Amino acid sequence: MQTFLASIEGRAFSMAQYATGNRDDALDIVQDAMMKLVQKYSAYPAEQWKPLFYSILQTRILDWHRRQSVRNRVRGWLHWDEDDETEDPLSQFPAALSSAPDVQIQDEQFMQKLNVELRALPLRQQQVFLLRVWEGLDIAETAAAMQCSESSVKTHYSRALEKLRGQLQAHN
Amino acid sequence: MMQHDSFEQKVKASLDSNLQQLDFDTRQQLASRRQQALAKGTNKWLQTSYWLPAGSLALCSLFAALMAFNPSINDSQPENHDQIAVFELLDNAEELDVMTDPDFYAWIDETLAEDEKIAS
Repeated sequence: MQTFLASIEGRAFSMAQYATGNRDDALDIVQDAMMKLVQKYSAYPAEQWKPLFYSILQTRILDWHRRQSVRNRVRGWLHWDEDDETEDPLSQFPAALSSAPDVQIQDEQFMQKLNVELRALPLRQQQVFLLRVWEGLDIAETAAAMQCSESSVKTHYSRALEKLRGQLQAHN
Repeated sequence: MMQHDSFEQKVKASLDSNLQQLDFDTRQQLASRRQQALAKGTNKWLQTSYWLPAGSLALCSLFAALMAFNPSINDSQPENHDQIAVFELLDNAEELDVMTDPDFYAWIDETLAEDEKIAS
């Protein structure tokens, strides 16, 4: 379990950070997901841990968005204009290296643009895209993790891919 | 495993590269939280599923004990009054020979019977 969590925590953190835009919240979400997996599913076969973990992670991310939605509504009613909790998405990702060669600069620019565009995607498109492309889950596993149908996964994925292609064409 | 086109491969490579550049503090935080999750997750005493049934049972037992032994909750108040009257009579008996007198017990029975008639 230790090895599995160590191998997955970085990508899980990045996915949560893309979804929340907040480093500390992303860390909390990943920790919650890890704890739940250890408590409930450590006796399960190791090959089931990955889809189970991402299913828990997605539930935690959705919970976070629901809480944020309620909090924003309350703020709206109380006329609070506090936007200091939303961090600048760009500030949370590694900065481009100034002394890098041309190719590396292009890659860094692509990465920066990708971070912005991923952050701009609707939550479900973003998470489906990351689970499929980055984590390598198949359609059925992604559908289970996202708690939606396989056809929804296909739709979300193709829309996300289309948008990212369009936005990143110049850097490709 | 899905087959990625060149764009998808580039995205994946970029995300991997991004992850490689994750700052030291975040890596430390993740490792620390992983250890916490493993420690809490494997410690049965910290799991609610472990102590919740026992806690619920203890709470139910406590409630039942309170219901059984608290006179203010108990519904059998007339019976209590009879018992108290008998105890008072016994307590006030100054001499032991009175308590051994059969007429004394006959008198108690009559008194209790009269009290029941008044109550009904």
